[in-house]
Amino acid sequence: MARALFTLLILVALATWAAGQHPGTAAAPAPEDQLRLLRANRSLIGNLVSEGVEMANTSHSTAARVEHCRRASRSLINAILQAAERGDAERVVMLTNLFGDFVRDGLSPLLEEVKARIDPQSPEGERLGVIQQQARADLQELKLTLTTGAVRDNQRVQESLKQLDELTPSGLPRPTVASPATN
Amino acid sequence: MNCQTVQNQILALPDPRDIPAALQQHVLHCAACHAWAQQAARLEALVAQLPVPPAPGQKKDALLGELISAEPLIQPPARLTALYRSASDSRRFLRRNTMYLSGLAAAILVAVAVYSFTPRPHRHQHDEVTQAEDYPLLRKIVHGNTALARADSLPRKLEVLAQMADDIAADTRGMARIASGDELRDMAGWYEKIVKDGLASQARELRKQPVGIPEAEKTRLLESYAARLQADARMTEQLLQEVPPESQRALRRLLEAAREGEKTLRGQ
Ligand SMILES: [Zn+2]
Repeated sequence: MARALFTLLILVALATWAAGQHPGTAAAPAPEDQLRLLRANRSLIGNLVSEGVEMANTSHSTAARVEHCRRASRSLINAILQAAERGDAERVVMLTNLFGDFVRDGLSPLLEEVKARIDPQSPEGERLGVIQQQARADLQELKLTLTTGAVRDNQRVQESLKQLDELTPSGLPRPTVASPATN
Repeated sequence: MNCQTVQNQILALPDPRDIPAALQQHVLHCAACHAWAQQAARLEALVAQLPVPPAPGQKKDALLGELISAEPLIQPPARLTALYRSASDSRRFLRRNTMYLSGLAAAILVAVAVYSFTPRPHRHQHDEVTQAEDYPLLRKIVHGNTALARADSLPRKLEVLAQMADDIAADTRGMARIASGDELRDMAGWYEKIVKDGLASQARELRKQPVGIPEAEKTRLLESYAARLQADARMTEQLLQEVPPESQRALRRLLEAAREGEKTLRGQ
């Protein structure tokens, strides 16, 4: 009995170890893939690094931070549009998923935070309104391109498009604070 | 006329590819509105490509109602409404916007619906291919940016920036024997930017911050990041002799940035 139990424990331990050897996420790409991916993403990463540093150098909850955040999201969109134009559906899917995460966890909640803190009638509030409008137009442009462009027939592209719709009921960054003034 | 007014009016145009003279003056001299007009024109061109089959009227209305009540695509700010003298003017403005945008929204809805219900052949190779497109460094940088968007304190900013710098340094060393000197120089440039313009500048801010964080804690934090930069410098230096001269130049740039950053963080 004890022996059977011991064997079972060993088996479980082995299975756990084996599972650890093949994690769900792939290992680092092979060197030639690394090089290809570096070349494909060189200018995108350069833009993201610049905007990231700018975000770090702005105060929390300011329109300036939102502006750089929106620019970072725009650089992702530009990369997606270029890939879509070439008909590179797999790159479109990979980038669209990253973009979706970035909007859901970064841009959208940031917009809400900042909007809750600043007076919509102040110059900063107006600036924020313009940025929010741009962010929405960016998303529209992306969705229209994935719906009409060269990659529209790819099923996985359509799945990532659906994922964008799930960001909010209307598929756009969530509305922030309801506009109070009606006078 | 402020930018938001101009941009709303561009959206309200029957065709934003045709900017009226009244707006042109502003659009020509304002980079933001110029970019906006170009984007509106691109959107218009994309909408024109949408196949819009005749949809059952009621169904479409229902979808639209849902979309609009959930959130109007463009919410004119209170200030903008005040610019329109009479209530009927502002209602007309809203109606024009809503009609244009709901038309666009309807077109997207219909097109997406058509595509999602059109049967098409399955492709099985996607998973593998997408994995081949996955670039860990890009993913890390995007996640770093997500964290920076929400970073609400100096220690948090420092933590994210230090992680981004580490990731880039590790990848640069990994690529030192295969990438061209040009490509490595770009990577070293990213590292330099994060360390010099990000980490070091935030470290100075932290030192200046009068309240909130005890001095001992500041010193401990900065020392830990300085040690990481020192490690980056050491590992990069070890690699120098093993790579071609062209790559050495790029690695030296990274090395210098790490050493400079280390000094700044230690307040030297
Ligand atoms: Zn303007």
